[in-house]
Amino acid sequence: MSVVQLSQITEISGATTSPRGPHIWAIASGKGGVGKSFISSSLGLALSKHGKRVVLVDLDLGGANLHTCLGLANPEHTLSDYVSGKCANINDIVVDMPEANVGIISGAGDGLDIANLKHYQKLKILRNLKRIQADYVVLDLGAGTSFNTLDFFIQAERGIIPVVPDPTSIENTYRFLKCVMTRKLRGAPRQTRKLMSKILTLRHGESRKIRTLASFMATMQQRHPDHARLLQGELENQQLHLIVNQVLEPADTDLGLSMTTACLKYFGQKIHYLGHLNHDRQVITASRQRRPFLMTFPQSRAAIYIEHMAAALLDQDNPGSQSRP
Amino acid sequence: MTGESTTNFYDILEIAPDASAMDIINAYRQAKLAYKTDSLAVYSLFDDVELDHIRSQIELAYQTLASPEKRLAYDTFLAGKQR
Repeated sequence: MSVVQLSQITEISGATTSPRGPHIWAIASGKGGVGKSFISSSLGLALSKHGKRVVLVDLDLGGANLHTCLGLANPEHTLSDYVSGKCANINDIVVDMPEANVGIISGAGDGLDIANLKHYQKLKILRNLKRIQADYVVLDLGAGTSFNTLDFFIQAERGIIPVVPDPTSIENTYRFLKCVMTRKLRGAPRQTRKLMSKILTLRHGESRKIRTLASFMATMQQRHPDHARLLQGELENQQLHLIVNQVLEPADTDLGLSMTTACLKYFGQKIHYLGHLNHDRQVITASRQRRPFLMTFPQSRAAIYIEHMAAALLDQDNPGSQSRP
Repeated sequence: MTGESTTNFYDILEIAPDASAMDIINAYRQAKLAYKTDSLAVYSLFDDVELDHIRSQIELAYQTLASPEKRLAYDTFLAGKQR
């Protein structure tokens, strides 16, 4: 399957609430069970408290459960209706929450086919995300590094990656980041890719191949500065953020900043640390009640932290205007 | 590690060339924390040899930039390289 070129994802000016189309954020991770759907739904609800129209899209293909996090049992329409052509307009499959200015494109009850999207089906979704009538579209992606997941993630202007303080989650987070960046670089023009291959087969004084993206980019910069600039542009066209979730011990709160430090060394790219969320039994309680956490426990520490994160990101999207609910 | 000949002590500590003494201390502490022996943050990203190399670079960068005399000499050296 080929890499989705940016030129393939043409911006179609549909009837959105903003002339440039909605902001698109994607939540993804290398490992499952780190809180992607919880964070997607909570961030979406937090954004709506700022008066933003939000549409959450469940792109955890084959493992969709975002509707449950929002307390919607059986959404009337699902992504399958759009992919199959049963609904022609992507906005027709948005199901609104009764209590908030939040809609969801659900994957509830989707069949086997949806987990294995064909390339043209993926392009159909990618091309039309910008047509969704909303200020913010939040993509809740599945765990892992499938091409579908990576391509949806790369499409977003902000990529948010939850990680939990556990070696397996950290290892898979780094693997996910490596795949994201590799996927982005594979979208480079052929001539640049040829030069990249040459650099990657170079051996240096210590007879070691280039191991980190940072050293690869430094070598590209030394030998082919024009191509390096192009690649750097591809890597920087998306803001990446890290959230440390399910924090149990005070020492775990250091993990986020330490990971961003290590990422800068390894990838040569700035990953922004958004903050941490403590392990909170109320999250499980809300899930068992099939109620949105942010609405059920709005005074909890996790809810307050999520609202701070949403406000911080809104401030970045709208510099100069202080976003406080 | 290869391909990092352009990295200077300021890059190693992730600070600007005009960083204050306090900025240098804070950056050093953050780097020490990230690369300490039992750090989860570097799990699977670097091997032991690379981590030793990174830690020694951090120490060298700090010892140089924390001393006003050594820093001045280093800045003069960097300026000469850029000319």
